[in-house]
Amino acid sequence: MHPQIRHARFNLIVCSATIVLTSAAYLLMLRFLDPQRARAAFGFFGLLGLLGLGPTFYHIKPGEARVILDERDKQIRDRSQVVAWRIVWLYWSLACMGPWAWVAIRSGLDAVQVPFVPVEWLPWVLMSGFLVFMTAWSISILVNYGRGNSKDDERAT
Amino acid sequence: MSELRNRIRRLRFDHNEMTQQELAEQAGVTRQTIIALEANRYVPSLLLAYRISRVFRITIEEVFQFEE
Repeated sequence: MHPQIRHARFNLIVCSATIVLTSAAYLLMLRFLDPQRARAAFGFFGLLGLLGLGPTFYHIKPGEARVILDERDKQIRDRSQVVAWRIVWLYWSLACMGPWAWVAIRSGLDAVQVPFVPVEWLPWVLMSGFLVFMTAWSISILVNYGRGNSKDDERAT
Repeated sequence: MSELRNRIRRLRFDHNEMTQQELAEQAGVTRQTIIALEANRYVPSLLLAYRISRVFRITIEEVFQFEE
């Protein structure tokens, strides 16, 4: 299997685990603690640090002279990055408008009073944007490699 | 619609049944790229096209054909 495919799969597993564990922990803590303290569940975002292990997938053994990434792989990587940026831009646009709507609705849509979005939401919008980017990038890489290639890749010659 | 076809599979066979891995190593790409090229799913850069034609010691036009 190509190292870039393995890398994309690893990223996807890390991102999925982060989403599942953070959501589960938050919902669980919300049952027993107050919403303020339940935010400790967001500590599971630290799992994203595992994404830093990515370069190990491209390790070449000493004396080994094989090509790891060629022009096609770089093209797939760059194309997937463009797709991921488009998705994350859309996400950020919505994430920046969503909280205003949420706060406005909760405060009773008072036309005179301008609703305030808690500043502590911003780091989470940024962090979740990174999560969305990595997920979209990984999926796009897998889709690009998977377009009718899977059977051929197994062929011996 | 224009397309770039190639004779890489045929040429490999004519050159002592060269494997995809051997061609990939000599052209400086991965085997997956050779697979994609043979299936006409990937259009190579001019540089790679030259490198592949050099492996077979023939001109670039003998490897790649432009079809309209």
